[in-house]
Amino acid sequence: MLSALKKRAVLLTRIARASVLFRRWTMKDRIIADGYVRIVNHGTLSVDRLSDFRGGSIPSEFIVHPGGQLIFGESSTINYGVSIDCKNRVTFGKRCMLSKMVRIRDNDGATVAPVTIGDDVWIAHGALIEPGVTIGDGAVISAGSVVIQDVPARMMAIGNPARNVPLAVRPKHELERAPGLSKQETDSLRSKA
Amino acid sequence: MTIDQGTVSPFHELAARLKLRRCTSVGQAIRVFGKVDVVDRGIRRIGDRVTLDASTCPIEIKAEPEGEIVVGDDVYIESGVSVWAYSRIVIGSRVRIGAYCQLVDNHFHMPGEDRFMFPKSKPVTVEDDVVIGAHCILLPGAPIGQGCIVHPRAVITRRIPPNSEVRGVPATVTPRAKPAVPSC
Repeated sequence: MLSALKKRAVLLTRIARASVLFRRWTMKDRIIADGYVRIVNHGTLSVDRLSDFRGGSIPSEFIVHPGGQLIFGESSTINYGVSIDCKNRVTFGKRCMLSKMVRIRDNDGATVAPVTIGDDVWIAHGALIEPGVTIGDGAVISAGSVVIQDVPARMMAIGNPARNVPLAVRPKHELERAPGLSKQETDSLRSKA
Repeated sequence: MTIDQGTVSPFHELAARLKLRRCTSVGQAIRVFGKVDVVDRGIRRIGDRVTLDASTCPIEIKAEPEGEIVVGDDVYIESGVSVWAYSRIVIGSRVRIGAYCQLVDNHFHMPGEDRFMFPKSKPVTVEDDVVIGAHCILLPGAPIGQGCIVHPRAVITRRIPPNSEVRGVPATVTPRAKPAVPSC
């Protein structure tokens, strides 16, 4: 009983924190934030429903210059230390997973080109996404990669500079539930997303 | 960047032990600069004469309830290092870990699979006398043999034999030429 109450209290804290952080911008329902997100928004910033901003040692940072559009998709998970710099347009699809310390920018001082990220994309720890990149649905960006060219759907980008390789499929029995989450919670998360 | 090894004043020793109070066991003569996030309820053992230099960016030591982090003696850990253990991460003695490294023993996702399910954890082991450069990423199941030098910004996903040099993404391994220390 007490642990259920505690979990509810933690969830409400996260929702409240997200409401405060994103109070001035387009916001939908059920967004939770675990840590501090630094937002400098002079353009358009849109955070969609069921998004989850994780906290950690370094705050995330979204910087949108005048005329820029930063649009997150629904059910996204964004970890700590993510840094997004938008002068033109950075768009995310649904169910994106951004790991820690990912850096995405659409301007590098010389070129300004929009970055488009599709649905179900997993960008692993510390990746760098450079201007003008389009990432297809279901793609995976490996840890530490520097992506300078488009990534087709369901391919994996790995390396510096990143090259595209097909995704290796692993056997299903290797999966297990996230630690700390019961089967009920996992199912309810999955059904909502 | 090394902070000079001097005697540790009792005040600083006390402050260091306060910062690491949630660790299971902490050794002698440890030095902690800056903020260290000790997260979750797993087992964390820190050896003797360990320096955690978090003066620029907090160091994160996260061990899940079933996880275990073991740090050996004479280890120097620079700012921004993040160690996440779901099963077991072992850091040997006389290891130097550069800034903003990430040691993790779970991939957290499987490409193309249900995104709420985790893959199985694989332990990460860093043997004695290893030098790890800045911004390296050690992924699950990456035992690093003794005496290796990991160049900055390497991403390691497989076993590294002892006395090698590791560079690149994904990591390429060459035998270590002579005991020279690269700039981190």
